[in-house]
Amino acid sequence: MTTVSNTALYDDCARSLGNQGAAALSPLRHGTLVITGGTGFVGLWMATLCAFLNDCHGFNLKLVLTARRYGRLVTAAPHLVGRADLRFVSADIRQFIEMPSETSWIIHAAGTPDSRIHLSSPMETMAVIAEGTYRILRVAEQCDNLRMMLHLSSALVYGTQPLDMASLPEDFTGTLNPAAVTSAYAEAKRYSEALCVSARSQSRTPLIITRPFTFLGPFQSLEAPWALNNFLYSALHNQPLKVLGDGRSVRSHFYGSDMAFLLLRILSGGRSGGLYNLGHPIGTTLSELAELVVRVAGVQLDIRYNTAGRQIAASRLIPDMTRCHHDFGFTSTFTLTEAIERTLAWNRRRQDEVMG
Amino acid sequence: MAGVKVAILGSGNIGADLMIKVRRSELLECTVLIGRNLSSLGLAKAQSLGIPISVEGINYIEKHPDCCDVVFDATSAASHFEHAVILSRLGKMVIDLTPAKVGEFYVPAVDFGTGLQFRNLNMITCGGQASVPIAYALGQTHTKIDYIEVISSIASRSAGPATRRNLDEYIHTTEAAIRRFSGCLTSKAILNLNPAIPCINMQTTVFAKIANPDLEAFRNKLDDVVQRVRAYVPKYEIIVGPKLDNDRVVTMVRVKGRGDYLPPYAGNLDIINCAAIAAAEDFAMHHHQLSQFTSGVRP
Amino acid sequence: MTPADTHTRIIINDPSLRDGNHAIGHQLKPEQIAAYCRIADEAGIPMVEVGHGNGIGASSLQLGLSAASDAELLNAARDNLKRSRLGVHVIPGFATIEKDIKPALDIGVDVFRIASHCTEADITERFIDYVRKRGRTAYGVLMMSHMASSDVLVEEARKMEAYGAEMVVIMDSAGAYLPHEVRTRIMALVEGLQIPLGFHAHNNLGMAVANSVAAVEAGASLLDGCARGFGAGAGNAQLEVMVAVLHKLGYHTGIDLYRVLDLGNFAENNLMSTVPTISSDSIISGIAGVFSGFLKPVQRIASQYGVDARDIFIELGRRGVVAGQEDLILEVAEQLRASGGKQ
Repeated sequence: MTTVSNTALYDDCARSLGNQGAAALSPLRHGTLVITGGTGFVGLWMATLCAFLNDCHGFNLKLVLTARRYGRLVTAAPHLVGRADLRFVSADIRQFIEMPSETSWIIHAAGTPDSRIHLSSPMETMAVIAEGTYRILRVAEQCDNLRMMLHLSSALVYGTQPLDMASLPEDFTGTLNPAAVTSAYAEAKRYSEALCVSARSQSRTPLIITRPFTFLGPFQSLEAPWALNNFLYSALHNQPLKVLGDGRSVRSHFYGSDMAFLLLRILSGGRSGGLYNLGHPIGTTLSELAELVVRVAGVQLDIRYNTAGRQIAASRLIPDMTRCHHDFGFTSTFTLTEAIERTLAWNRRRQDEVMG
Repeated sequence: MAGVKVAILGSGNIGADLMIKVRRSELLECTVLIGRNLSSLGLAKAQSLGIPISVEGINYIEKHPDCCDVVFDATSAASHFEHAVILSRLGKMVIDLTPAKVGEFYVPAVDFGTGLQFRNLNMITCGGQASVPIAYALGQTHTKIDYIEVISSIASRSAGPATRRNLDEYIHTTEAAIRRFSGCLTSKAILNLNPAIPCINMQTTVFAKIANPDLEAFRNKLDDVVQRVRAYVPKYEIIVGPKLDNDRVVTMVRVKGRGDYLPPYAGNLDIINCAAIAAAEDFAMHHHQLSQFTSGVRP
Repeated sequence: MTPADTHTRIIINDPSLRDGNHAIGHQLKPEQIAAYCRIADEAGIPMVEVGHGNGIGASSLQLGLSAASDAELLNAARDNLKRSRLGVHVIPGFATIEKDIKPALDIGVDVFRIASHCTEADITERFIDYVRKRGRTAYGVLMMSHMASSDVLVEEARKMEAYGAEMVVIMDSAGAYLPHEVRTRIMALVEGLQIPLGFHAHNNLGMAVANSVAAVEAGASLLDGCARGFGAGAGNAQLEVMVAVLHKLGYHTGIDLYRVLDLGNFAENNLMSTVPTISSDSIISGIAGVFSGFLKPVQRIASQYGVDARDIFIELGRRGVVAGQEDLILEVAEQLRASGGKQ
């Protein structure tokens, strides 16, 4: 069922799927997919893509989304409300008791990526990841129909990308210092990976770990002050864009529907024991990004570099996507320009909805 | 032990401490501690004491409306807005320890029965509970007070993420309470967090700008009010003043906690809990016409 | 500003009209603000900070009542700063967004320096977020920074960075540091943060300019300096001296030296009753690590109670008192008097 509010999103899904995508995802047909963190960026994109697969390709895939607050689903993704194929379960991930017995697929995406919360409430942040992951793994043991579980870790487990590495491959063990409170979230994610590997070994749970890098697209809250969020927020509110330092730091951005398709590909076609980066392999500098946002937004806005004197060491955070490309033929279908266009358009529509 | 039935929403440190205080009260009975997270320490403590627990949130009370007449809400402001509506419909007496401020400000020491006609009482803030008795005494002894200022210093360790995120609410609420209970024209509240180890006790200073201060009348009235506070906060102690300094009437009070569940240095958290218990006990006496008084219960 | 000259460029922030207020019981008037700002603007001072000594919203019986309202002072500054940016100091717990940040935004303040005690950065989150969302600049400020180790300072600074602060400024509010201590801290912060750093010195131990130089040599990008050192306690790093020294060392400030010397003259003749010196009490407060802004209330209360101001400072330092706790001075004085002088 296509409505006004999901037309653009369905177009994105169709494009990411391409001609071969539906066939590649066919193992998902008639299954039941449980997504924790169902109202986050990943959860909402997964749900949207699955709804598209049901509506336009007859997948008959049942969805169970679980998260703390139903309200967020309603405000962020109204097109998902009231669907017969989607059930929402309100729960704290740490209290999760059971999943439907027919569950065939699980995506564990619970946890907030907002670094402000990680620093203000590091103990709570770590507890949700550690206890939540443990609980989900134990609950998954009861699912006799489980074909695969996919766990979302984080690119932050690599620590700071060394300056001499062009991109981070999955076998890089990272540079994290556990004794720093700024490592709390990343250390908890490392622990979650170790828990998953243990579950695979001890309980034979079929499991794949992915490490998300930076995403963009509809459903992304612009609250947390990351570079791209700041640029988009500024463009939407007619404020000058602010780049910290000289803008030479490099980041890559993966568009939501491409991310969702790749995740479903990995989930339905990957082998237990897999470990995959999840991001875009080609980066841009922050100054290029700022200029692109201004160009795409079509507004006359200043781009201001941090006016304080010193250089900030340029940093990189880029995934090596060779493994995904080799195993799944991964490519992204949206250019950065298109991704920004579509993200701005979605945000503008929401601004209008809120005002009018 | 039969007493007025009390349910506690929120199994964090505040809720767990309230549970222990309710247990000690001769007028109250804790029928359930409701949390969100089965692995919370508060719930484990409740179980060890034989007190029923639930992780169903407000739904538990909706399903078992007879479980309680009084509900303490120690969750969050956001949750309380939701809870207040439901509990009002169920006709419960609600004592709100969150910053939601849906109901009436209540300070047991300065209430003589009027507060209990309301069904949602708000415990203001720690600075409010500590300073309102003093501000009240000033208001009772002076017809015109230009300005009252309240400065509280609390141990950094006793201020968790929720307190730190809600400093503005703390300030505005405390200022409103000061004006309400003293009749002063303007007010200001300040909060300092001090990280010193060993942890400092809560200390609150009240400055008042009054054209012709009557220190003697104020001191006498303050003595009365302080006695009333000490009935539920035993370690509430005036440590400086009242006196005049630099044209300001100064009174400093220190509050040490009882250490039931919260550590003793967290006098700021304890004073709110003690006030909440006193409010519930006031309700119990008022509405259940108990004729027995035990020592320590306010006359 | 091209990448090439960023290594030698130091931004100067001038809080004479804020920190200086401590020295005169917060009695600066709008006319003085206006006149000073005109000269500062001509001199090319990049940032001028205005307000009560403890920031906007701090006028109180606790910290001293301002002669003029925040709005009056800020408007006087705003009207007289064309090239220079207008900044304010603001402490959550004293000020609130509703009462103080909003009006300041409306007046056109450019830079909001949101300050907390050096171990309590998380109280700045909402303020930084609010300012940032409105397209203005928020800096994080860690006060009394000598009271925390380098590791803790880095942690707290990183919180501010995560909240969206564009810079973190470390304050030596007690004038307690020696240059090597400044170097260690700034180096750790440069290492641990992506955003640039600033340093704010006080002169209780005669080290303000030397500490400021140590800070830039360790990688700081911004320094606070006040005309004639006009500030709390023994005063701040003296702006004119600092500019001269920085130029001599090869740094660029964008400030015209003659004009900033004129600014110093103006300040001496029009803003202060006495030029800051390092008094005995100030030396002790520096050694005891007590907030410089306590000097006047401590001296007043000491003389009223007949106790030694220095003893009060030592005791306040022992208790680990933070900025904003001026009410404790009375308590300490009473205790000292009761115990017959030294404890």
